[in-house]
Amino acid sequence: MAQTIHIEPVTRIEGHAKIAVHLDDAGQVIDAKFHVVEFRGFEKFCVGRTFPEMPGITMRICGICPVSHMLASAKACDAIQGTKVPVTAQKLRRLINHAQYTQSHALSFFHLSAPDLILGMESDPATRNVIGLILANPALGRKAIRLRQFGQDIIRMVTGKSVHPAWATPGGVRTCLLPSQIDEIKARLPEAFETTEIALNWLKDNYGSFTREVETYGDFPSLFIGLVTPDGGLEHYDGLLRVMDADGRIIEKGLANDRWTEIIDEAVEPWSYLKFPYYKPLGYGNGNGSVPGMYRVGPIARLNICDYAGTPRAERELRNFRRLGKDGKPVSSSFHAHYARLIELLFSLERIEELVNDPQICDTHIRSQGGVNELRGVGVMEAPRGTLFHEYHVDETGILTGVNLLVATGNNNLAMNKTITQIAKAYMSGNKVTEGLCNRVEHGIRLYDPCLSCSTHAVGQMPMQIQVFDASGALVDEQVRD
Amino acid sequence: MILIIAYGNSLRRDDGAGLILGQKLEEALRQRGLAVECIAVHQLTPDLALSVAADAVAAVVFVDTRVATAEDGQMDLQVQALGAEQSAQSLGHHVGPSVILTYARLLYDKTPPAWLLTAPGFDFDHGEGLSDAAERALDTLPAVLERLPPGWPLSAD
Repeated sequence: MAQTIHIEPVTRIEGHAKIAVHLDDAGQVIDAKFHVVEFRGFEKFCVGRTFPEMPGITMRICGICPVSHMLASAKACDAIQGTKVPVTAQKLRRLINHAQYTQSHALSFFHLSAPDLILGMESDPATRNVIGLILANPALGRKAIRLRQFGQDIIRMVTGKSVHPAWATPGGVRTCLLPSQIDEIKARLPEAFETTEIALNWLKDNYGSFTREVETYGDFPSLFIGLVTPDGGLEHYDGLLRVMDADGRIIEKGLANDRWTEIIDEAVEPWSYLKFPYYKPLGYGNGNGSVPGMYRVGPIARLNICDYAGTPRAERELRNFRRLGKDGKPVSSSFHAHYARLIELLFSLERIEELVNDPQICDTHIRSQGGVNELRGVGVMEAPRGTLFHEYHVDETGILTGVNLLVATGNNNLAMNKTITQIAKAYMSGNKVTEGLCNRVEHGIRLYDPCLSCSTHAVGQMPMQIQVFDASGALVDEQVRD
Repeated sequence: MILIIAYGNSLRRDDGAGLILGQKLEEALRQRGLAVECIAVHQLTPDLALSVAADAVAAVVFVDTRVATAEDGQMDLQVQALGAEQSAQSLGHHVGPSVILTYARLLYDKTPPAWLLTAPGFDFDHGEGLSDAAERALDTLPAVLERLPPGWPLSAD
């Protein structure tokens, strides 16, 4: 008898979602769907506003990656103005972007994923959380908190203390960095490096414990998309779009950002509010579940597609990372996102170190002025979770007539569904959902560190609910995790 | 020093009520001659434990919106005491105030008196500005403070 099992909501990710696992008549998993049930209304909300407001508005979409939205938005506005952003403003934008990578990747690794990794995927759920981690290793807990705070503090130093400072603005930024702030950042960098290295060493030392997870947590062929520098280096703020296939062939070497709609299209499924982007030249398939144009973005994709990292410590780790690919192919298991995230954390700290030692960082020419010179503007960023697209259309007075936001979580939607299907097939037996299976499926989703609602924390908070339905729709099993 | 941590999303209507209420509370406590610092954030994150654990902090007030309906009759501002021993299970991007307090206790041995002040929220649609009901609730803050013990929030006496 065919059955459907629902798991909701997924905890420790931004927003709320449920998971339905579909069984065939023999009780075997045939598919799993990641339902996103909260509607994102920001695109409609923005139409009718003036374009210079957008960096300040869009950064309020998300509490975890506001800097990515602010900078992607500012870049789209730069394009509408057609002005050249001063060099120092570009460096300051890069600085806070790397600061955001620091806080976001630290949150993802230490606070969201480490409890599973260190305490065990199927350990007691009452203690398999960061409190349990702290009790197991309070010194590491303190370091983890300070690492995240370091990233947050740089953002606050640069942008001010307001909750949503519209610091990046069309044509540049609003405020400079002070020498005293540079000294503070420099003083705190060594501990940040040390904490990251501790995490890296721990993960590499324990990889042998996760052999099965590597094979079953999203290990499948896919395309990889992201930004690279014009000469192919690892890039988070600007650059060109590159597409790599599952065998490592580069099929788009360096596409200009404003041509992104030539290669990406978005499909819609009736069971999810989240769209399903795919690589247009390979298509969405015939609806039987296999999508030729499925791609992944984010830490693994970025490390796969780049030719080099460009900083010493990250370069060393990138060489190790590449050994995880099979037969010289790109790294294919999403479980390696943990390692990729830590490598990027190291990369960001190295870039922060470079930027605060750059004499130009304190220059005061930080903004170019301009009006509406183009009626379409595109801003593309690498958010910590993956590639983020902002596209705006304005009339001649600068009023927004159209807004399209393609967020990293959307880009990974197909891959997330495939990942949870693979995990359910590997770990589910019978029609009962165990705590262990729940947590493995959740961990599979969290490998992509998704932001789903990115909007409100007050609505929709509920305990985890797991429901099992038979083919007739009758509820045959239910679990609630308080 | 009294630390106020106000949180919410001002683009989701009443979800931003906590941010405005935090500002009002800061002003009211300053008028009483108390040293106050207010942190406004989109949502609570683990690193706030460091702010709570700072030497100067004598009490913490978290200020948030709670989901309310006209039917449940809970249209007022509400104050409740918090402790680190309370729930520490909702972990992740959405961290609750008790989790922050738990961090502060376990990592820094700091347990200041802590409170949760909430405004009722009715409208969480996309948009700026508060619902009339939430606005009216915020206006009652002076009266709510008058009813609290004189030592609040430094103590419950």
